[in-house]
Amino acid sequence: MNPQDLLTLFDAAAMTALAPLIALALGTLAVLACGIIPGGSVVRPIAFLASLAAAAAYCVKTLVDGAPATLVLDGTFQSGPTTAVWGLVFIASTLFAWLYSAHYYEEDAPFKGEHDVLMLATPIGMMLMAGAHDLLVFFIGLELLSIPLYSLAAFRRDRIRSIEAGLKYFLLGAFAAACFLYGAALLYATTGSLSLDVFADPTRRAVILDQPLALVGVALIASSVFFKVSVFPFHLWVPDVYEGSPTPVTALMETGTKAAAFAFLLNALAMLPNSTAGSIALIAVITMAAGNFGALAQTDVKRMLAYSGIAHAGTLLLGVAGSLNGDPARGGAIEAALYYMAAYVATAGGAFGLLALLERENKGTTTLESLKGLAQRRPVVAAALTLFMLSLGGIPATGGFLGKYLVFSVAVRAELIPYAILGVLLSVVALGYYLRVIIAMYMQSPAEGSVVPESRPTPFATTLASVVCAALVIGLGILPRWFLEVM
Amino acid sequence: MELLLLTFLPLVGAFLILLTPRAAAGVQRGLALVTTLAVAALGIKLFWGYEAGGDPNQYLFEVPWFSLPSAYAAPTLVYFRIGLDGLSLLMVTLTAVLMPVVILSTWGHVEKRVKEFMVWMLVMQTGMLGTFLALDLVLFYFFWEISLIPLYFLVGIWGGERRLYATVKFFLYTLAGSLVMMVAIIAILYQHGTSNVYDLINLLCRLPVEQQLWYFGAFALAFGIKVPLLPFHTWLPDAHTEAPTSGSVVLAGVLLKMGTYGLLRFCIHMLPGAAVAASPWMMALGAIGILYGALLAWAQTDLKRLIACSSVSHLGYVVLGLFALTPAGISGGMLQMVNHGISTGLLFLLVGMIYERRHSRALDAFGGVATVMPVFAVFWVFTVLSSVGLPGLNGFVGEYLVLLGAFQASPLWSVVGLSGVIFGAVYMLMATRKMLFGACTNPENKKLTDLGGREMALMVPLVVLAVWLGLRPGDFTSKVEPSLAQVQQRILEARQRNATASLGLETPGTAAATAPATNSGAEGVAAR
Amino acid sequence: MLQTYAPILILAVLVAGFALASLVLSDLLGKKRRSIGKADAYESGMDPRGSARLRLSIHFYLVAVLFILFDVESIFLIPWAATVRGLSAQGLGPVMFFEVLAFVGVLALGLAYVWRKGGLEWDR
Repeated sequence: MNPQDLLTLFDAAAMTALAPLIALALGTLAVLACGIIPGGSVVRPIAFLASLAAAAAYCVKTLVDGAPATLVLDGTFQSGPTTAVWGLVFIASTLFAWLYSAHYYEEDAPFKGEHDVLMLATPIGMMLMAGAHDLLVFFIGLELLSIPLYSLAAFRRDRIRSIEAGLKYFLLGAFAAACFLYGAALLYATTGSLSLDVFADPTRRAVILDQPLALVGVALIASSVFFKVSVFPFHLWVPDVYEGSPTPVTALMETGTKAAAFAFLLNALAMLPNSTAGSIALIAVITMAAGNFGALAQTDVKRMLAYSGIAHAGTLLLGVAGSLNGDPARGGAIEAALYYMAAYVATAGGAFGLLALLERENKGTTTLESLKGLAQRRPVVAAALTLFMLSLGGIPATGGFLGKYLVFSVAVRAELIPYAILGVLLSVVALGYYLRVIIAMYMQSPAEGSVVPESRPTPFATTLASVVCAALVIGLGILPRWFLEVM
Repeated sequence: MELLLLTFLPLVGAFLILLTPRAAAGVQRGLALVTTLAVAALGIKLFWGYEAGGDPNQYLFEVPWFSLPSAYAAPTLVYFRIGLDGLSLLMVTLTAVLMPVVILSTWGHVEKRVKEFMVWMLVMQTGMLGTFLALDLVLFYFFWEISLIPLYFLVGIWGGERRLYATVKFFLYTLAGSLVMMVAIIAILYQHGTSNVYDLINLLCRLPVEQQLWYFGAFALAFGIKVPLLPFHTWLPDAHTEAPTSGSVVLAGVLLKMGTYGLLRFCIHMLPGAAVAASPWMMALGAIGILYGALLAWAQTDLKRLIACSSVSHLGYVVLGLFALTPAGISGGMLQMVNHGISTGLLFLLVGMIYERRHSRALDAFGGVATVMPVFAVFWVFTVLSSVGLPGLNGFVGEYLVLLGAFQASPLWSVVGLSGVIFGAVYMLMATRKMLFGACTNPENKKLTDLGGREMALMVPLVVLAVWLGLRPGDFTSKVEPSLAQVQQRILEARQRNATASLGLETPGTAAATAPATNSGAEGVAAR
Repeated sequence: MLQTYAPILILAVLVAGFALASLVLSDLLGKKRRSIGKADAYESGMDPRGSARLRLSIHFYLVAVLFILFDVESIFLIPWAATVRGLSAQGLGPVMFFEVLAFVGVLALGLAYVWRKGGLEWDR
């Protein structure tokens, strides 16, 4: 490339695509600086929110402008409405996690600054992943997301489970990252390019996917992405890590990371041979089974939700499989995944957030036992948690239903009907454990002699986040139109 | 607009109740009663004003809701579309009329958490009314599943000892069926590009029978579990036994009818070809259900469980009648839905009343109750007679028509069903004898007080309906006849189509039907 | 074509020669005092016997991590330095300048942070 062309790389379209990322990066630096300037702890939340707001505003602007999707930065990054909606999803995910974390760390409060820096860095990684049209860009995004999360997972240093979570996540995550790099290297060896462009042309794609070396590379990349979204058989780390991590961080991992990895998976779909649709659908159903039956055996709500997250990854993967099976349905798949994840961010974010609140009240436990009689103690919290559980279970009038409907309709259209039926039946199993939470809250009273925790006033940030989450869940459930039309 | 008001008035009431302080049980009860009375008034007005054979879109209310991807260029527009026709009229009226009775009955047995109870009751009413009124497949599914949740809470919080087991079983059973239905709905919407029930009724009947049967299977599974049809009936006795009285009344009176209503509206009217093909099997399930339910009921020692099992039997009649696919059978089935709602509702109310006094439902615990509670005995005997089909009361007309219709279609299953009538009389009358008559030996029974004014008052509307339906069924059937005639027309067409198809003849209706039919549907949607 | 790689070869020879020469020369010229301690396996100043689960002061890690962080950044500065002249000549000077300013600024912020938080103090 001619050196002069360096300047033309950063044209208007590129800057539009990069603006949210830049806003977040500057915000991260500002939040970091707040740690060393006098009065920084007062400015910090403002800087955090301002940066998220600016990024969100740029995403909204992209949507309002309605510019068609284009490739920028020498074809390495996608700019356009889809990336912008994903961006909003990530921003929401970060915002909820942050709001719920505001009062979560009592003994570690002095390190809240570091926590916020790390947390604000994650959506940058997510956006890079979602927009990546180049394996290297994706990798940078992946690391930018993962490295802060490794530290965040271990953030409650006083708890051995948290440290375990951090270490496990780090070791396995590093392994997955290595897998990805190796896969990318093999693809480079066969195609001479790291760009996803090489798969755009059908004939060239067929030639590439005919070579064993390239297939091994694709398999390695796929397993690394599957690791991030916790798909069978790469899901075993999830329960321990999600249970051990601080609850707001779990919320972030459950929603943001998963969304980002799925966003890339859908972008890079051309990488997977079409013939894999059946096996991916099978993997999806096995993942749903593993998650749902695993969750059925849990007595700790946080761990249960971790397993349920695996099941949800399986559901979305069924949509991915559906979009592999026949081209016309592909637009529908991205739409469905976006809807599903948007609803999921609000639902799982809210559920984990309320768990964080209850965990604080119940001296660090999140067992089903500790939820007994909650409806009498805190009716509003119980009602909100019920709403989130029903949405996770995909009951109509919640966002979860329409997300599930859209994803399954991708699968049905792709004639993966047996898998879809298996999938819906497995979601009956899922209701089995979501209902248990509701049963504990509404239909059981605390065991004799158990200490009823004193109710503390709910922090404002938690209330705000919960109200927004609940409103989103209901809004996406009964007025889906505005969201569907944006896409 | 009237329908919109009817559907969401209970929800408004529920919202108002939410705003009251938790301790103000009286206010909550009052609000609930006023709301349901208003809904009932509106329902009766609608019933009165409904013109048989009039403009089908008389009450139609529709707004575009959202769009879903379809196989055609234009996406499928999902409407919020509710309307009243002959198939839903009786169910809607029943739902509206039954609810104040149910609310009034809770005075006796719901003392804890009154606020939540009333809220759930009203939410459930919205769900049920919405299910009956919805004329959009997606909207129907919405209401169908939403109406599950309130009952889940009603049984789970205010139920008996094994309430958790019963409520989870009920929820998961029903959900499993309805999710399979969801897959079918997805497929229908995608292939035909519309979710308007009336459009689909025109489109789907022209599909080849094999394809109709797939849809039929998915829908029939969901509805069959709800009804419940024979192999899926086990959740019902549990749910009924554990539910609070009011929950049982709503469950028997309305919720189960959602299943039979669905069978009529979707399995028969929308997929007539498959209905004709599956008719012998469904009739068999219905007839066996009648007999099996009756035998089950005979063996019960718990009064409530006995009535629950008799429900299985009575709903067997409905299915037998509907799937006879003859005019008599279908009107009989339709009437029987209403009858069962009235009779079984009354039975559950009565059992609840005696349970509130005696805290036992075991048949052995009673005996000679008629001597201490004569008014109760009168109501009970009346209800039992209406339930077993005494001529002059509501049960007779429905059962007679069902058996007549079934006989025209299949004498065998009609005879099996007829034997169920006999067994039904046997177990009901035996239970009555054990409970009401004989010597009053148990000292506890001697202390029982008779029914109070509230209890009598709340039963009076149902008793009046029972007599009215028994003496002048025409007042009710004449309103629905034109709609049922349309169903009948579909069935006749389907019969011809199936016959020609089995002869191997090509007709415009079979082989070539899919493509042109669906295209015209998509265009119709796009044009709108 | 291989000639292009000649300097690398020469460098390799030089490095190997230097290493070898220092070892050999120090062995030949140096004074030898044998002791038990010196006969031990050499383990970076640690006692090779006893439990391997020693507790090391966190300071070692902190310093090591900080060193690596700032050390690795120099990898980015060297290519910049190598190309800045040529690119400046093509009129990209201001871009190059602000680019490195941003980079160094981020680094400086990090350094200031570490400093302020006491990461550079050994006794704390």
